[in-house]
Amino acid sequence: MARPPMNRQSAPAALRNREPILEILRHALPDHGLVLEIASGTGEHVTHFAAALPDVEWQPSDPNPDSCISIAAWIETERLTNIRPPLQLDVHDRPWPVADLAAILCINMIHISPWTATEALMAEAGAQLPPGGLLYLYGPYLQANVATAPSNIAFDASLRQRNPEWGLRDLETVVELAAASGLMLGGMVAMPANNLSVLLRRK
Amino acid sequence: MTDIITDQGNDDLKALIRTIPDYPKPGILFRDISTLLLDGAAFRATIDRIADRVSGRPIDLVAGIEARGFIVAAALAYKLGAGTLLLRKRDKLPGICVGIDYSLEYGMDRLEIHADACQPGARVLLVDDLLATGGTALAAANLLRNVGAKLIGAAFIVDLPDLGGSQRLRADGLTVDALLDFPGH
Repeated sequence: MARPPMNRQSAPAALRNREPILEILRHALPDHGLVLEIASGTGEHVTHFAAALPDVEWQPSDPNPDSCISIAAWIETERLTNIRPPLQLDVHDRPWPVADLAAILCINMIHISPWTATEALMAEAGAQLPPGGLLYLYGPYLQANVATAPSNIAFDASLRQRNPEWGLRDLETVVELAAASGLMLGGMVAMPANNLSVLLRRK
Repeated sequence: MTDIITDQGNDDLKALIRTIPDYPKPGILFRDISTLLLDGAAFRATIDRIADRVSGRPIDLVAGIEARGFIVAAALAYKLGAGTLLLRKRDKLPGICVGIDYSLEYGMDRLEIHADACQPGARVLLVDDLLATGGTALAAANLLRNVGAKLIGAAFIVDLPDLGGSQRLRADGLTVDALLDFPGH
């Protein structure tokens, strides 16, 4: 049964950043294989990437049931065959019910979740990815030697107000946590609106 | 200054490279490009001829290996209108870096770049002054590949083909150019 279009949620930020993110993924992802997206949200990212990279198979996921409905609605609207149905998954619920991953995407999650979510993400990415496998992170970060943009300072404050466990993470702390799970920094790219792409590779 | 003429064999440049026996170890003939660099016309011709070898291949960044590779990289990047990427030895760069460990004849070494120095998909030409066994160049190529660079090739002033470096790099899929070669070690 076709879902009514109202199930499809839309996030303005996802529409703004999905093209620059896709440009990075074109070069960083393998040509084939299964890519898991953590915290897919509305589903606008994964459907955009799946349409542009048809030889890759995509597994969206989100802990929120409404998000999963939105993701499924977007998949149906876009008539994509290289996306699996969304998985209702909270990163804390380990081990994740997935196998044979080539890469993992996690866009705008680690600052909008408790730190334990990042810990679970790193541990599970370290366990699930093959050698050389990519964990792609996108979002704003705090950096020791880089002045934080005013927009990010305000964003950090608003996140902490919404939930004291949320907030922008220190990049070096995230990189150290990743390394403890065998995920080594493989590159960083400055992105629009003071965001960063952080590419981690399984040893 | 030397009169630099167009010379396919680059013997005019070869004559300006000094050979120092038993350096840095007994039995090694050190091919010293510093004497070539001292000659303005010859240095310019060196860079121009490397640029000719790579012409027609779009290049975003010229990546030079510390330390003499920086000289080739900076001059060539200026000529090509490309950026210069520094491949540095361990712990020389401040901030967040990515690196690669590689083995030398004795022990290990490491090359590093800033984690955000090279965008995935950037077209990069790797350069150094001299290619010997190719161990360092191969590590540099792998580091650049790890950050998503598209390697356009590797270029050197001098190749020592008997040490097998150019063969190793070609086996790794790289286009290798060198202006000069010297036999032996």
